Amino acid sequence: MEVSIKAEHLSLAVPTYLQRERVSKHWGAVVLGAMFDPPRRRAVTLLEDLNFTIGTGDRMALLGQNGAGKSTLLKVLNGAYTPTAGRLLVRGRTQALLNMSLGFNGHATVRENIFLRGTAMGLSTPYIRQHLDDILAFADIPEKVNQRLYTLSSGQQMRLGFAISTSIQQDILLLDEWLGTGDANFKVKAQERLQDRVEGSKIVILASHQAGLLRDICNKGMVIDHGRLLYVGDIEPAIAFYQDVLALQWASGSTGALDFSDGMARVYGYVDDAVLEVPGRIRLKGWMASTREHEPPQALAVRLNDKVHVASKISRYKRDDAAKRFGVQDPECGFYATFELPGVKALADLEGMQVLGGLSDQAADTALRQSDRLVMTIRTGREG
Amino acid sequence: MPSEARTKDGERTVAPSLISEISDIKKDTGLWQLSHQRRLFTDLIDSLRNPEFWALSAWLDIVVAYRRSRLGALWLIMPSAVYIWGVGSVFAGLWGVSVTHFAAHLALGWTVFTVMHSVTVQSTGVLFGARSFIMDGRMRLTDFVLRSMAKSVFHFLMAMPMTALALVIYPHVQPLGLLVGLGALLIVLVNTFTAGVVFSLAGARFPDIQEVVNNVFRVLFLLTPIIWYPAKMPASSLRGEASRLNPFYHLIEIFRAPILGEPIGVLSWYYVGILTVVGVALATFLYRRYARLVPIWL
Repeated sequence: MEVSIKAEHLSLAVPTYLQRERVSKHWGAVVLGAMFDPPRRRAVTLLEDLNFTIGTGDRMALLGQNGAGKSTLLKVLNGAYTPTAGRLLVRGRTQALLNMSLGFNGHATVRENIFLRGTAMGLSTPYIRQHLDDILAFADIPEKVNQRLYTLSSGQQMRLGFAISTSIQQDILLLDEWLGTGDANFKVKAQERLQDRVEGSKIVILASHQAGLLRDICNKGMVIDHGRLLYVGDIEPAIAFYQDVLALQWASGSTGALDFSDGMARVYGYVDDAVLEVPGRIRLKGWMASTREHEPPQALAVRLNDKVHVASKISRYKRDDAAKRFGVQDPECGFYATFELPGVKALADLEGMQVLGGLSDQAADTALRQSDRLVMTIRTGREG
Repeated sequence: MPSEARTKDGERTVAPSLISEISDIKKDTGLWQLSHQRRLFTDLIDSLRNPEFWALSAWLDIVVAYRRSRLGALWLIMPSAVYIWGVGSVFAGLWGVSVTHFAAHLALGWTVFTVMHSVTVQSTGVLFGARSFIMDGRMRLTDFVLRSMAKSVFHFLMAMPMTALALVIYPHVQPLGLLVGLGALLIVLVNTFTAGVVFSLAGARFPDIQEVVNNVFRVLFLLTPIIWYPAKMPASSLRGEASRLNPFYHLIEIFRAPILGEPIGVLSWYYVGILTVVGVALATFLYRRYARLVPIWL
């Protein structure tokens, strides 16, 4: 059977409840506030207009910062959250390994709990009976089968949950972070089992922050930010794009939703230092990159006192630090740029300067972040 | 298994851009579609076809409760014995009737009331309690309502030996009435289920409901002819009028009166008929509209 997941204009908006901001003067007010302050309701969009198709054989990486919507999307895919608009078509049996230590009954025996969790997963009782010994052996607790669950250590419970959840091979596997639980011995076993399940699944969706792991397992990637799908494609460009997004957010100093309304190219960068070569000419040092692959930004300009001056000369150089620290993809992102600024007699005259970057001279309109040192130099230069 | 894929496209489209539902059949057929609504009736049928999960979890809830005790299952029978014979003889004396008469009246009323009471109260918290299963994508909420119903019905059956004993010593049991009573019990269960659905959704959205229901039931118990005879509170009195607004009054009357050969007003049958229709309609409507929001509320 062809296994696939298809989302069309999928959105999810949920009401959230906000507690009113209040200043409490003493503990009595805190207690009263907790008792009589009903939370306010507000709709929040968690996922916005997602469109994607995942086909048989795809191993999809979900990339995004904490709170971007990865886990929410996984919960939509496993059927817990119903989209508020659009549609989602899933072909194939799904197994989600999102939270495996839940849904137990502490006072029931281990055997009873295996049946409880198994039936909750939709397994038939004959199937569970058949696999009971395997599950117990895998969790390393065969002698505990008739003991009550609460007598197991939390590590043993986790192992049991893992053993049950991975006891069946389904078509689609949803993973929130790669799971590694328990002691060294169990970890090896769990890794093998998980690897096995990943290989046996027709579709795998893995949300993780570990780029190395995602490269090993996935062939496709999806970048999510603030509930919107920014990029979907092969894994390498997806990871590259995600790292660019992180660097862009750092360079723009904002964690707000990114505006890609003019296409996917966004320029970002950083100015380290400025030197006054001769009066009327300065040289800036920094780095600059764009979120579009193979399209490094070409233009730099300085806006000073409402006048824009295009760089008279730009030379590129290798900046490993930008690649390492901020995940910039283009190693040749460093620049030295010379500007003719008549009227600038000292660095202090640069007060209020904006450095703009862009793909071409006409589109040099994105402000680059300036280093604290540069800002201080300009300011103290004026004072001195 | 995939052969019986039930795609319900087209016929149930809500709006051009929205797609109709295919209920939680992914586990059975592997083909499913997420959409905006869930259907009570479809879910109920699916739940009844696949009883393993809710039956097992209900059963575990019951056995686990008595596992620590020495006398074990004996405690399942004890409450009914204490209530029917203990409370029964006290109130029989109070009303000046013999225990042989009053025990049957009390037993039938109390057992049925307890089913409705415990399902309604439990269901207000049942979805919250099943949060981990729901978040795991197990969205057939009827499973969780049936779980609390199964528990209550089990306790009802455990009270049957004492109830049977009370009926044996009752002089005027109507054999035909037992059949009517059985039918009435079915109607009671339907109403219990719809109440369970309505209150489980309400309880998931408004946690306060649990307390409200708990408190309301204290009054409702006294307004239901379990420890008293309907004749003692005639419809003309204010209390009598209030008690006749109480749905449990009528649900118990249609079950008990035919068996014991007590007089029953036509009004009770009308009341229960309307209640059932309205209850089913309300539960269907609320389930269709709000079941999908439950994971978000929890």
